[in-house]
Amino acid sequence: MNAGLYRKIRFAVGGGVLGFSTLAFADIGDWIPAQIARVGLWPQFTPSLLGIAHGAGWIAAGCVAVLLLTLLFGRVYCAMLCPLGVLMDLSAWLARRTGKKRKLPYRPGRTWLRVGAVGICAAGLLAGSAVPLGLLDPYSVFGKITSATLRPLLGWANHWISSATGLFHPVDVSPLAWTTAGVAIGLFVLVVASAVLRGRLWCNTVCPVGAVLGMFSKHAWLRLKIADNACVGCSLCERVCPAQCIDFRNRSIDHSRCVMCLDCVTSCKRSGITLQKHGKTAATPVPAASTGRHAKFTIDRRLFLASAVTIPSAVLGAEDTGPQNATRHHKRAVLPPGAKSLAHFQRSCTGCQLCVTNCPDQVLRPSITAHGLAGFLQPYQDFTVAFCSYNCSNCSQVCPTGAIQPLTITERRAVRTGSVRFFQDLCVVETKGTSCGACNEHCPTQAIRMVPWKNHLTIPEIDEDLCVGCGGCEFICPVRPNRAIIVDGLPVHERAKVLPLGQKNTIREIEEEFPF
Amino acid sequence: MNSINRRRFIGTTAASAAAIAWHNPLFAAPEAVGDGPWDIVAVRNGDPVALFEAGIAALGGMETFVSKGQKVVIKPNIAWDKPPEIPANTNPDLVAAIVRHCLKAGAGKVIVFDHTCHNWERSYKTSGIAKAVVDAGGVMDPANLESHYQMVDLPKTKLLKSALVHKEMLDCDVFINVPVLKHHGGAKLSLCMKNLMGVVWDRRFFHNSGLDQCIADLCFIPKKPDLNIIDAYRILRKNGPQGRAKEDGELAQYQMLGRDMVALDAAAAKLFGMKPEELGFIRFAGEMGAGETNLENVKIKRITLEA
Repeated sequence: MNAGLYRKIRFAVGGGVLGFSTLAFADIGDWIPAQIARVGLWPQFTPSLLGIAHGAGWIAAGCVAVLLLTLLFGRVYCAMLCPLGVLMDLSAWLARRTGKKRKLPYRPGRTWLRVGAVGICAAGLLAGSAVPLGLLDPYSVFGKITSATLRPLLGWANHWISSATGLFHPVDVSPLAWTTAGVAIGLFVLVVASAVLRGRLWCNTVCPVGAVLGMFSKHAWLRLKIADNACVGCSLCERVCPAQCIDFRNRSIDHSRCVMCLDCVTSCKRSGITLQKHGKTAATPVPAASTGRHAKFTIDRRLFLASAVTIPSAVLGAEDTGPQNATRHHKRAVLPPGAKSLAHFQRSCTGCQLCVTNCPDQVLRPSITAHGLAGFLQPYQDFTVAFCSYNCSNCSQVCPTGAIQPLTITERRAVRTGSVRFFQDLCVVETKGTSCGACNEHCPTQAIRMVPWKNHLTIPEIDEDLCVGCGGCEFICPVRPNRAIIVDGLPVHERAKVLPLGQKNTIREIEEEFPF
Repeated sequence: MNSINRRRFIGTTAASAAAIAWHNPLFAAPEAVGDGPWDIVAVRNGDPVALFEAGIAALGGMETFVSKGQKVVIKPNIAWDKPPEIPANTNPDLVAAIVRHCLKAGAGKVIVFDHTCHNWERSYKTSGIAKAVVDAGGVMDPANLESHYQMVDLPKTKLLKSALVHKEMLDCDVFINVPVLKHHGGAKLSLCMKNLMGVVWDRRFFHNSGLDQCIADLCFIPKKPDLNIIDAYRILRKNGPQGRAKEDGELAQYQMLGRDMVALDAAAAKLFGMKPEELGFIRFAGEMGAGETNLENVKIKRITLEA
């Protein structure tokens, strides 16, 4: 294929992926419905790979397609399907346009770092936490950055313009999560700085997807080759290569690191770099100067070894079991409906924040310590901000990893994510002798009923079987500092009792006289 | 051939009378003693629009309340993400009819809002009210942010000494309060006074400080309703205020209109099957002189539409 055409496709697809992903994660106004977001993010490698483990069906085919693509043409995913990769190329391009041109000389691959990154992610997964993967995987990093920084900014802008002009309604955006935003800004600075200074450094050192795809791209059907008879050793290709994987002196290209941008092809004045079917041309053996030392010790074996190295799970602190002096108000964080169990959720959620963005009630928030360190930045339900709607299952519909299993609204209503606890001695009705019923008001299932009490008052009575753990009661309870009713997260979700209810109004017979 | 014979005369007259009687309160059963003006007009046996048209006609038409160019705020109950068949919210057809009548009476702008309990966008949508209002030419306003509210002092109240009240409501010329008659776990019933909680930002204060007294205090917010319309086309009989299923709703086909929130709430309580004095907020409002709790002192026009 013509390299110029390929680059046009790369810019178009890359721009599309970056734009779509940005909209999907920064969405403040249901610009991209949950279903569309999920379809658009189909080729994202990591969520799709995790999806396979959870029987996510068609969504899982995304990573297979990416692997096939890599086996055919190399790391095309990195070139144009990875939103973080495209963001890096864009930042580097902007920096080149505005600042000085940086030459990126060839550097030998740091295989140990790449293996280490994959090893840490694998070890995390083996230990039951997808958090390390979530902090290195480019899709999840992109999601964290966009959702935790750009989205609140858009929210503020929306409120400001809305109140200044009255042209449109203000949107609901949850309060800024400072720690998450801090982590996201840190990651953003790291990503942009590395891209400006060193091109695709991230992709070939810490990115686990880059490392895995590199294993396949080494054996790709089509690979870039420097033609011996064309090369005059001008070094143009080496200087433009963002992956720093072209060694012009040896006329060699490290295909495991090549991100298929084809900048080298267009840079070569003699058209000396071309895509060739592997094995057809008389490829001269690559001089061993750079890669020789590791030539036999392949990444595959290293990957296997690294996977076996489990990080002490104590470091990850499997679950926050709570302090020793736990009061009766100590509660476990509530998981989104569809998360099945804390164990399932922690090992499957990369914390991409897509569900947080798509939660219309803004009850989902990234956790800092709520799920323990092994759940860092995985979402939980924050009932101080809002509560989970009985008529919604958006988070489960949008989750690309299967951490939150898809539920219909009917199915969602049969899931108990937490159980209600009522402290009558704190209740307004008991302490002040006035009527309240705020918890009952917000209870969608009448798990909280108001029953007759002293002085014509009514007081809550709990039917735990009906509780779905939505948190409406905890959200609205007016008692402070400790609320009179809370919802304690269930480590393993249960089935809530669903009553068969009549689907018709009763009819009132018209009385002889008006009743007043 | 075209001459009028006796049979034809009787037939035509009867048909015309029936046609006029259809939805026309003047020909409905005379269930009120004496003449207007009425404190309460109660209408029954018809769809929400027919009930409203008969009721507002008996009050002298919307022109009595709205003048040309005025800004009208309508405050229905849109608190919950529930369809009209589960009567947790005011009937959308009724709200639309009120909007149309206001505009016909010359209103410059008709604004509708509620501080919802469920997600506001979904409540506006599912209730059917957003579409009904916009189609009728009204404007749906948001009430989801604290910035929509303004702090006002309430000197005449007992507990609610100050409150953040929705700016549009403070700023309007005519305020129309349109609650739906429903069961309520805390206050027992949700009616005119209770519906005004939706113009205030902080509801937890109500629940924490004495719900019934705070509800009664709402009679003294700066902009009193010029007209209250209790929608009892469907009544939420149980599991209020949000209701669980359609079985919780009762098709009752009633509507009550008037200025006195306390009297209207008392009448609605009786319609529900409760004594007004069972409701704390009615008792408190009566004690504070906010309105008439004894329906014997209230002039009620009772209209039963012919089916």
